[in-house]
Amino acid sequence: MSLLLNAQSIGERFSAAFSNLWQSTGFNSFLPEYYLMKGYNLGIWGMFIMLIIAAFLIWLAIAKKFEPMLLLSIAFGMLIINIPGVYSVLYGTGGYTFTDEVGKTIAQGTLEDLCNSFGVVYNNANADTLNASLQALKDYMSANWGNLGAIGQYTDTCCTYGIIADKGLIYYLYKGVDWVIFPPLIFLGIGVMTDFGPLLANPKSLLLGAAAQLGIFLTFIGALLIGFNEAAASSIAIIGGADGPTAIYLTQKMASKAMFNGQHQELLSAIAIAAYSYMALVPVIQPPIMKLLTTKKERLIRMEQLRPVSKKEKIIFPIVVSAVVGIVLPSALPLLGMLMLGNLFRESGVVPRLAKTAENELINIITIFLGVTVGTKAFAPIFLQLQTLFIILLGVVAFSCGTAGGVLLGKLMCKISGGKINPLIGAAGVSAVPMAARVAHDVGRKEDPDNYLLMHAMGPNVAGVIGSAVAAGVLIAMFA
Amino acid sequence: MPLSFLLGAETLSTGDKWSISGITTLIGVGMTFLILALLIGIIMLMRIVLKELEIVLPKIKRKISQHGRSNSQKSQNENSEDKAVAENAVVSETADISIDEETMKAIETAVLNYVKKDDNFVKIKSVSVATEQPAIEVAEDSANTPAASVQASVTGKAVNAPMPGTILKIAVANGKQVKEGELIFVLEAMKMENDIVSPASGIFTATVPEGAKVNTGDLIAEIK
Repeated sequence: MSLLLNAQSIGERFSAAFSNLWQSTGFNSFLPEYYLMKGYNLGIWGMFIMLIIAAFLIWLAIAKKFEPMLLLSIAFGMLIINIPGVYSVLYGTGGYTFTDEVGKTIAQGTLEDLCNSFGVVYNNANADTLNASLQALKDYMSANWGNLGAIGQYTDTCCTYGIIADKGLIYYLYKGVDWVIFPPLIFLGIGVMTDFGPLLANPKSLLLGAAAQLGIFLTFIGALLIGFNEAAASSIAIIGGADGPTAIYLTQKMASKAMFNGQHQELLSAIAIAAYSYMALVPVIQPPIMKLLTTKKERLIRMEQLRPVSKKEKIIFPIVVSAVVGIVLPSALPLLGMLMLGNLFRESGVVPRLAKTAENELINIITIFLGVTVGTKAFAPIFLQLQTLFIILLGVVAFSCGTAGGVLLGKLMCKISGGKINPLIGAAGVSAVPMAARVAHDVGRKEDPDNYLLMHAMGPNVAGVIGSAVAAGVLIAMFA
Repeated sequence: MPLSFLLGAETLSTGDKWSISGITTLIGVGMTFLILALLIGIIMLMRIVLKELEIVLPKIKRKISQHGRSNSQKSQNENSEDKAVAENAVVSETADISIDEETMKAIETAVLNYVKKDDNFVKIKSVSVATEQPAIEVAEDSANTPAASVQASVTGKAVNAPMPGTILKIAVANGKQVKEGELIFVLEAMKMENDIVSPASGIFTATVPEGAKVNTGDLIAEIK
């Protein structure tokens, strides 16, 4: 840009314009700061690996129909962010901010700008020279800290790397995730789609919805022992809730505190991708666990018909639940409150237009924004780390434990009720509406084609949505 | 913030990590169960309150609507309410005006109350009050088997809908012979297609059209 402004003659202007164009392409400009990210030494090759992963996920979404609603946009977000040189256009130019003890900004800008303005040598030949430039800049700041108008001593925490200038499209779209607006709005739409009838007819299924959250808390132990801190461990554990929006909500709430072995950790992309992939894999992961834990006799149990639920009950339920959750666990209210508002839209029947918008247009728009922005968080230097593998492994543990927890409590309830409850419906207690309920139904029908468990499984299934939001609320209240 | 001093787990020993995660798990699971159990209590309570209201509210309404009119409401005679209903119906018929909502409700509650007294004996199936031709239809059923009347009218084997949904497809034409276990319906529920197979061999007659919305227990076909 500056080249263009300084140019005088037409010839100079043309050559400056072409030079700018050339420099903007991926062939010439990789963010040199990539090299400075701690623990990252794959350089440009990391981007290529990510491009291949993104292409694979796109293939999964299109050819195998793996939760395409979200996975397609997530994978596309991954694809575009990992094209070399694009990061600064989509997110904005990366730069450094120096702040003093009270948080006042002393200096900010790209490494190059800062070095030039303070007369420090800047050399972007390779990672080592970049590191040397940064160190020289830090030394300069340290030596002149008081003269620059700062209060207190210069420490390493004074210097943070972040996005500061030339903010791009994704930077603004991501604000919906950053400010945790999107997940509750998705819950609004889910509320309109959800029928709490089966749950109201058989309120005991709420217990199954709670038991299936066991996976969350067991995974928490594992994640903590591996070396994640509490905030990061809760974010990983919530994958066991099998609820995408809840997982994103909690992870973002914990984002500033999430650490692995003492280092700050970006978990969002890995967690979102793991959560949505496992939701697509429900029909693969759940049946073996369900079969392992139940006997053939239990799977054959037919359940009594559900009683009809009056409209009054359906209308009062969302109002009372919001009030009670608001008092007992306010941190779960943003999610559950929106869920219940959506459900009230549905059951009251007086706002069909609002209900239609919430369950169609609004949720679709939010899904697009959420998918693509979460995908762009899977940026090679952040995503290609050992921790991502841990997250994906812990995710499947969380999921399996949740299923097992639901089935085991189902067995217990079966024993207590004298064989009236089919333990298979316990597996539907992990949310993943209505996929988990369908799986319970299918496994039941494999044993007895005349056994229709679907409506019975919907009870624990919607209870699972409430359960995972409550579990998230508990974790947020403890660690956020 | 409680427990926030624990952040920075890297400085903790493995034993500390176990105790933190153990406590968290206990608190977390406990809280989740507690809150969901609380919700169960609320649902139960809501149901009881609504049931009570259903009985109490009509009584209050009736008292207000019949205020000043001398009638035999407090009499122990079972037929008194029946008479009141009949009176209401007759009044509206002779006046040749369409019944307004309040009158309709009064009739409904009167009938309901009448039937409630003999709860063990009869069960209301439907109460419908037509506004143009004031008439009260009370379909009675023997109390124990809800589907009894349906099955009574069927000479062959009845096929009932196993769950609420939409009949997506009727696989067999009416009057055709079907074997036991043969696919006869595709029922769509929760966006999931379910095959319904014939419970017996015989001549198939569907009682609902394709695309019909059915509820659990509805008669959808008979096999003779």
